[in-house]
Amino acid sequence: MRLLLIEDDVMIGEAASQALRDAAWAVDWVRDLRAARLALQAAEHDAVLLDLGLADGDGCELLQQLRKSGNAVPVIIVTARDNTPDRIRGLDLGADDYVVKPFEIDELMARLRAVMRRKNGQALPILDNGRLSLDPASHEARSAQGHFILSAREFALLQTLLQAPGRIFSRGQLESSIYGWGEEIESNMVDFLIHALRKKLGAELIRNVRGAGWYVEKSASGDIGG
Amino acid sequence: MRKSGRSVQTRLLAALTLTVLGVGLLATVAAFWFAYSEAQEFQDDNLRQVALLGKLADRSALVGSEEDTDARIRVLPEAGRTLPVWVPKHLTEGFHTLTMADGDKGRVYVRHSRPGGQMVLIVQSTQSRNEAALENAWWTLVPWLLFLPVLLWLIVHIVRRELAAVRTLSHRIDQQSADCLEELPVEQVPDEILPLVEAVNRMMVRVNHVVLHQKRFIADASHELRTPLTALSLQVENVERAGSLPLMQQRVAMLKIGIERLRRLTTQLLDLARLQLQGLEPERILVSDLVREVIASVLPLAESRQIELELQLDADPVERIDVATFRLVVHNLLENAIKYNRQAGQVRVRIAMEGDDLVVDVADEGSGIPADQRESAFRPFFRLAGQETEGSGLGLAIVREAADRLGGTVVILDNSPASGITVRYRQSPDRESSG
Repeated sequence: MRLLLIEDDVMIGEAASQALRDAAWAVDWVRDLRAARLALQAAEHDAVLLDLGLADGDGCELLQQLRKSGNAVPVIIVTARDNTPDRIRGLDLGADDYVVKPFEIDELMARLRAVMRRKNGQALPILDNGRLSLDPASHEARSAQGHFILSAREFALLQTLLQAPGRIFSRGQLESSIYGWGEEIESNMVDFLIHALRKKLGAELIRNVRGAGWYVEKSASGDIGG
Repeated sequence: MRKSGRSVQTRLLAALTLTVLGVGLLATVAAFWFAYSEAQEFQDDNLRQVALLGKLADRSALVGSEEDTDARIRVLPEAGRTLPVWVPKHLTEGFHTLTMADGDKGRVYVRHSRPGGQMVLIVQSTQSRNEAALENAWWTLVPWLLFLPVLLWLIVHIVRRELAAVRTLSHRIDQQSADCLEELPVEQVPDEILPLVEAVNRMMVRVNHVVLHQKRFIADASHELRTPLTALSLQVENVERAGSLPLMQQRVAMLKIGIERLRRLTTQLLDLARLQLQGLEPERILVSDLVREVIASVLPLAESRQIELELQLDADPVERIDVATFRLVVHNLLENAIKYNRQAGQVRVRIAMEGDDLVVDVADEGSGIPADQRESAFRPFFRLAGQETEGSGLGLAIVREAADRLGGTVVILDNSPASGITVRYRQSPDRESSG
């Protein structure tokens, strides 16, 4: 899952990027609105963390433009402005949530998971296609073969697949959900992760279409025990 | 509330009451005296007229009834009698006061029926005369004694009413909250206290300005404290999650930088707060000694950025100055010059005298501050747009505050054509201490 972090404070930017990477997000971090616009054009993000007081303007401007252009990417405002009018304005402009600094990273993660669920139209926190389930909070995956705690990257890849069961993801798409900008992409990482996941959960659960990419089956009423 | 003899109302009432009573007493005594004398004269006239009447009519008709004790007028000699013995033989015509047989005094009008002939005396008891005169005099006092309480009541009422404006004003002032003082209305205020009310209003404007300034500062400061706190809490959580020792060490290093930033911000906030509270204790120091000491304290910071420091003494003055405050000026100027310098740049400190003025210049080789932002650069938490360095934005605010306290000035100058800026601190000699 790829996330755009818009934060002008270097220290917070670095620390938050680290924390998000630890939680298996691919993070692109920018420090001003101009760079944020470029980043949003260059790549598809699954979520945006938006600081409001930026050097070249207010984060709300970007939010407004984003929603006007029809981009529905989940946006969480992360700011030191804690008064109610600011919150109301941010939410009315189309933010999905509002977090006040200083915040605990666990809370931010929980809110991120919540907006991701809403984005995907899920009421339940667990991603599930009937044969394979994944708990985004605990990084725990379950299949007929048992349950496993996944590594950060295994989780990121499986989460991407399970959020759109039936959709085929290319190698590039999967890589971009694992790596942020500036991170070196290891050439066989996708193959390596898929191999590891299949080994743990069952070979037939992640399918491959030669030349196209990988997918998990759409929610079938199939039995897990099969 | 303080009770003292300074109440205008009490003093006014006391003064007016005493005046009214004093003047009233004098007026009473005078009125009494005039009424009394008037009554005496009136009775003398009576005696004289009785005497004149006595020539024309039957004497017996003139004699008052014996029972009329109040204003008994007797005519002597009585019919068929000679004059009593207490009447001296020779009396001139006119008024006399004689002691009568019973020892009482009598007022006597003497008339000779013809020259050398028989005397006729019209006699009235002095006591009864006095009683009548006193009674008359007392009656003149009645209206005065009746109206005195009314007058006093009116005085109290009028004074109270006129001073009500003052009570209303003080009530309004009591009602004010310290957050935002409202100016007092001047429409109904008497001319005499208008200057006071206007002065109070001017003071309120000043106080409001200071309160607003402080409020904004506190709001800004609490906002600014969130940023390093957020970074710290993230950094701590990152350390917690570090899976290996090297990773943990790397993250602890980040945490330390975060703590240093918060420490610096709180130090600067405290510096600023202390500047506003502490008194000055000027002492004579060699300016270059203090500057050397400050340069030594910022050397590690300068070395970490490969900044070269240079001290240039165009003069080496001894000045009378508060050391702690002056150190804040030099320290913050130097720190700013190092932080906002280019990598491996130079910072030059110059001490000079211009006339009687001490001048301390701190010049850097950074990217400078645009001319239109130089004044706002002294505001707390000011940061240039797009600035990479993580400053608190308090350095120049502290310098300005400290300069104000010392009675000095601080301005930002261009280094053109070279890059960077020079911040110039200038201090005129303290007239009190140099004199």
